[in-house]
Amino acid sequence: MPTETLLELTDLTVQYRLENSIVTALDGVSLSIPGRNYSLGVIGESGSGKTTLGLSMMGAIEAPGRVVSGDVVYQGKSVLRRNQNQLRRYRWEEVAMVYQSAMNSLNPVKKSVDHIVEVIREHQGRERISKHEAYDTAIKLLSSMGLKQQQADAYAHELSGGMRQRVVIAMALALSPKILIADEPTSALDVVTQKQILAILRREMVKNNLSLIFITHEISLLSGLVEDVMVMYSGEIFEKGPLDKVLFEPLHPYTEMLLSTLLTFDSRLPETSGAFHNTGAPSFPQEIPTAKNLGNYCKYAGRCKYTFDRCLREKPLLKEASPGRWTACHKYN
Amino acid sequence: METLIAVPKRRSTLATLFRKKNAIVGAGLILAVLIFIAIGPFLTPYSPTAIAGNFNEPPTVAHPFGTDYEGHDLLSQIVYGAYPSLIVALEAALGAAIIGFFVGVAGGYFDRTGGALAGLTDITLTFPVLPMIILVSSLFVPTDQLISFLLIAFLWAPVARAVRAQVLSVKKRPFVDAAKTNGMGDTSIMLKVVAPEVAPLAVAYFIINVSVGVVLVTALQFLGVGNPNAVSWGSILYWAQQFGFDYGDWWWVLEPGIIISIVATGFALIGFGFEEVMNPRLRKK
Amino acid sequence: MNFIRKRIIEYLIVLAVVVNLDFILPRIAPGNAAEILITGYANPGLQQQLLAQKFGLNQSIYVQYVDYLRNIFLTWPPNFGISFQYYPATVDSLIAQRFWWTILLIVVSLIVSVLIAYGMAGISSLRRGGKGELASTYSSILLQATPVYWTGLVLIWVFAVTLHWFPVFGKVDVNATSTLSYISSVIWHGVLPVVALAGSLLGENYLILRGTTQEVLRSDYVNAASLRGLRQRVIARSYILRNSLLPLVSLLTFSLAGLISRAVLVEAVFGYAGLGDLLVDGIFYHDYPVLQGTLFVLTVIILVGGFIGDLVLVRLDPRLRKS
Repeated sequence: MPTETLLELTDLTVQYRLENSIVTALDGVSLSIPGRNYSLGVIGESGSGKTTLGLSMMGAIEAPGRVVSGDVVYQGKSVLRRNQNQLRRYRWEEVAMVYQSAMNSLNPVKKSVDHIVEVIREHQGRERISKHEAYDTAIKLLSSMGLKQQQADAYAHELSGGMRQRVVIAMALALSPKILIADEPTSALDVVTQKQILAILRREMVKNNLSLIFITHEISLLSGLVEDVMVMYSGEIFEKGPLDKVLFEPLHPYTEMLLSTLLTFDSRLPETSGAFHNTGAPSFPQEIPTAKNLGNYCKYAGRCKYTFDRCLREKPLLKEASPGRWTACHKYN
Repeated sequence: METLIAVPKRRSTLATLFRKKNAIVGAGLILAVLIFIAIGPFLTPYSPTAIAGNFNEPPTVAHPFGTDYEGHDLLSQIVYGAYPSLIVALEAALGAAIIGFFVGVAGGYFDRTGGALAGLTDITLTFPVLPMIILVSSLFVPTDQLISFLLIAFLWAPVARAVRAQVLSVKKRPFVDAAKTNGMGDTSIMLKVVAPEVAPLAVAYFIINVSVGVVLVTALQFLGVGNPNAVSWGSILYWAQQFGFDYGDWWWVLEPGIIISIVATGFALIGFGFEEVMNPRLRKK
Repeated sequence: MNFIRKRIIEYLIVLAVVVNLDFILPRIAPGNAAEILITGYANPGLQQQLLAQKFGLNQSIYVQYVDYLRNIFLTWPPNFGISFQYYPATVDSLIAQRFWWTILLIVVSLIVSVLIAYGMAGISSLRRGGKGELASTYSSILLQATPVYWTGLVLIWVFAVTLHWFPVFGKVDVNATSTLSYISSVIWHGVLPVVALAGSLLGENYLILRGTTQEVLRSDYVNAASLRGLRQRVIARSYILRNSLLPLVSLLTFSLAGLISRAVLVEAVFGYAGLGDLLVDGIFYHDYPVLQGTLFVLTVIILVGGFIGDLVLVRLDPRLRKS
């Protein structure tokens, strides 16, 4: 039951400046994450802006990216306007992130357990926590992830992908953050390990009242994991609502199309990004509108089978079509 | 992390190269020197070995580069001295690049023999080039050919090392796998698929090796290996060291070094610019 | 320890090549082996014959080979023969006199150049792509391309001959007797050679350092560390610096050969009486024993230095420790 709003994105627009063009990664996105124990899945193809979404929540948009307008607000205070120090505190203590190549995010010259020790001591103060205490906490944490002492003492290159991902998750949870953003945490892993990781996430959510934002392009992973799901396309939110409702009665034509390409609901897609390539949906629009004329039209218009006149002239806003079901489509206006 | 990118059009590599300031400056320098050398013989009425004027004259209109202690015109010496220095360097760099290319490709592509080749490369890199060439040339008549050959024997190793590193990463790319599943034999894959990918890197190293070669060749000439009476940039400095100080002929010492530096820097700039373009790891984001 | 083992084998191969080359070359070179090994270009005739006997060139090749190896590896000091120029001084005595001077020059220059390269890298990394970095990069390329023997000559001209700030050549003043004046004389003589050698190394070292630091800066684990809310200082030390060291040490180890070559040139130009100077003198006189012995010792220096570098590398990089 949502209590107060924990994290909120208000009309956030983020752009990346490239050599020849400006790419709008997020286009006026608004979202609110209510209090504890909430879980949200974010579905989209690569280029839909879902990773930028995660990064913005961490306040981690850096050159060549830029927040053009809007804000990210945590517990009433803007995240983007924090100074270095406050941002340091915010990251990891309140919101933590795990992502796909997190396996490469381990320092090759540090042991796994030392990563966690470092995180603990750096955030909680080196004077207050001794190396010994932090080490014990770290070991306990790692073992709750299913990693033994031997693996805790190992270096990154000595561990398998699944083990490394577990270390990374342990690192993320070390300070008991309130929100965990997981961006494709299992894409590079085999099915068995994938299931294990998802189980860990589920367990942690229950144990620590953790809110989870799970970003992926594999819809099948979300079942049994998240309560709400959000569909993103080209920097915008096209649909948002409870998982089962969205999956069985999609409102937005894009969602419809995504779902129709799945073999079955539960099976794992053979080539996970292949489904999207088959649909003919562009991975990212090649014509990039500049900030000035962020076109007043529906970005899906060209591909949508329901396209009508209004779609080309007016941009559909995200509106609540029925209680708890949000969609940005003129069919429901 | 996922890169969120609209793929920019792939410019042809040559065009990218020309955008690099480094390469432009380098090319400019080299071009200047080449023109200088080409036109030189027409500018200087003197033969480099003839006694052309007074001894120890600082630069004047008649002798823009001055003369040495025997009255040789230094401008002519530098113009004519270019050939022995440059040609040997070019030859050596070319030979080294070719050998290094093949060794690097084979070394990166095959696993076991590749390891052996890599070991051979490392071993070759460990030898001190200059002392060894000095040793060999004390026994055999140090002709330009010999020196060129000896240089090739050492300079192929850095090329092979860099090429191998890139082959290792190219090996993992999908089109190599595709070629394999299509049943292409190893040799064909190496020659038709992998080689073209790494060839530009070899070219970059060829250019860098010219820079290195020029410095090494002139160093040998400076030390008196070979015939110090044959005019070359290094030999000019050889005599300058012996007699220049006594007579206070600062121009004699300065000029050959400047031109060697210009040439070496020019090639280095082009080569580095090339390498930056070819080697994606070095590319600035 | 796989890595170390591989490197040791490589070093031994290098040594073996040099040793065997030293043995084979004079015997296949044009001219009489005796002539080359014993007298260079002088003293034909009877003296030569007698000397040939003395140096065992009348014996079979196998005996010669065994004797040769025994002289180098089983006797101490290793016997490389007798120098022609400095007759009757033995080669090993000459080498012994000069060995530490060369080491001194090399070590000091290496330290100086690495320190300065780090300083430059530190300053220019503060502003990425700023003027500082551009200037450093270009000047490094220039430094690297400029021949060290020429910069040596220029330095001598400017600072020694014209300004008289430093001596023109040599390593120490023969008149310096007391320890203090000896040391200060060594330093005074050593400044210009070190400047020349360190300068030529500087360019290369800086470029390598910059390359590796850039690579590290862009790596996933550095970005991830900042995402974790770690302090800049911690990241700089344990992530950036630490990981940049690895390829630097590795490349330094490979550049030892080039370092030796450059040291030889510097010694030649400055008349600095070390091994390089000995080598260069040998050229003119075709003093083969000297050349042979000096090459051997220089190679050993490279190998030992390389080995030390490898040990450091293994200590620093856990990825090299395979069980």
